[in-house]
Amino acid sequence: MTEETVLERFPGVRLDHLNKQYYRGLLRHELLVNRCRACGRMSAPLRPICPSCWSSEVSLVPVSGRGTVHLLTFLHQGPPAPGVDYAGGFPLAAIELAEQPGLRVEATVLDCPRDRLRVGLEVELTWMDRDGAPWPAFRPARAQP
Amino acid sequence: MTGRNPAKDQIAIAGVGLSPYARDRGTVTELALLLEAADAAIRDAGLTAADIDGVVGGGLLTGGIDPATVVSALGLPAVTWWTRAAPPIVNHLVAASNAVWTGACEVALVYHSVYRVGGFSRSADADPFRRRATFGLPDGRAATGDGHSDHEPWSMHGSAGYAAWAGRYLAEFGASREDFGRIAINDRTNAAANPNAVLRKPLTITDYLGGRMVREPLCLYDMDVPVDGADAFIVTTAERARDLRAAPVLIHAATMGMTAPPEEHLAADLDATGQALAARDLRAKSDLWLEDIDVFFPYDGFSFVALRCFEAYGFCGPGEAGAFLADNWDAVENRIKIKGRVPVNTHGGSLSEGGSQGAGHLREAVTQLRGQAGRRQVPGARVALLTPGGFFFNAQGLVLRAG
Repeated sequence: MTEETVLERFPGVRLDHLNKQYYRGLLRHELLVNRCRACGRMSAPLRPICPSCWSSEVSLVPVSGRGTVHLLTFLHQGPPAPGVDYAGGFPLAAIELAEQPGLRVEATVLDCPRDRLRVGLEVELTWMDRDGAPWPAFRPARAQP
Repeated sequence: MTGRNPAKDQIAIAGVGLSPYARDRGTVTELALLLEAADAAIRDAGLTAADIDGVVGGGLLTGGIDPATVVSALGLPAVTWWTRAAPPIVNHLVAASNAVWTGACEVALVYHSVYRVGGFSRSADADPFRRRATFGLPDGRAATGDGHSDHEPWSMHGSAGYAAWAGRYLAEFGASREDFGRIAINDRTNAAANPNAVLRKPLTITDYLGGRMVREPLCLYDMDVPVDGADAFIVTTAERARDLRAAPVLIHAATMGMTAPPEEHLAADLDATGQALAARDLRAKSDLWLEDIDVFFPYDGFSFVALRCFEAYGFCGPGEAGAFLADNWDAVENRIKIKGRVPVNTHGGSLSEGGSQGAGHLREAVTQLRGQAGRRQVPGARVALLTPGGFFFNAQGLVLRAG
């Protein structure tokens, strides 16, 4: 996938020579975080070094997509965005990923009745369309077999 | 964080100036607002353009006015130190104080302006990624993220983060929205006596609970009100200030606090934030503390920030601010009076006077410590505690005393 493709698919994002890898991952439906080869810690958002040990031996790895709702708000107003309905309160969450305590990403939660959506809910990664490109979102985790 | 504070009481605020706040100042430019405040501050100190040899300032929404523009517009003939500063206001004040303390300048003009804007964008270089790097919102963030942060409704950067932590706080401690409401009601009660406040109609708890929900659990009354306006201050040595026209107000201790990770959605806990660090550091630097203050200015860009100030600064323990406010509520005056004595945000705060990144709190503190607050005056006020900024990447603390 060329750089031109990433630039074209995310016209409103401040892409740079570091985060272009993350956005390329989104186009493959992979949610990527940094993993430090020196100390093993994972981190997000992307930084050129590991915030724990300052090693520059960091690389992007996909996460499982399993996590829990750590923070949650419902937005009743905001900038117009395709597919976003503020009328009933648009959910915005910080999802703590299963890979590591404190490893969190921000996303909305789909396919969840309002009365079920709360801090602590177990969720899994899904994908949504924003301006013609895939972005991560979460939905209630299906029962494990 | 050692508590070292060699400039304690050595630097003074010797002048204040205001360009009145309004929901809409119409065709008045941001520079005109700023100059009105600067002119007033310099005159208040009894000084002239030739006395100003330091300039520092900046605002949030437009990035603020550059010092060179201010020097040009005011015709300042001899400036030996200047810099821009990002809000909240203690950033500006600490920069000025440091410059005076080191001798980089002797009399600094400190300015802060608020001017409502839409977004803007710029373009640049041949490298498309570099071109991407130069467009974005005035605060430096791109239209939909820079790979490190996104924007509402997809990100918790800014307002949504406070709402999300407020929700977690309610759940964790069994607190209620009424606790947030006390901050809003207190501010509105105080604003009634402040002609510069843009919202002065008394607020009831029924009004508050019926307020339009914006970012749950924060409603319209939990969020500061956008205004046009500006404030300016004159900062110089305590010694020089004593020879000037206005009663000096001394900077007793000042601090800023930031801890990693400063992102709203990544903070480990509210007790691990910049706000908590600022509180600890200010405590270490200050000889004057909660029992010594006569008026308290917790920052209230969001009601929840102010509520948490009572906990972070040690008036009460985590989760206890609601009960603390109930215990320290003056039902007759319909406002907070800590131990029946210390009022809070006497000008109405950001929620009722207008959002100004703490500049309004600083102006009111100086006015109170000079004994010039009129109907709002706290009798015999000598010491003020201010906590401008929020939890994460802009927390600040300040103790002022009458000189």
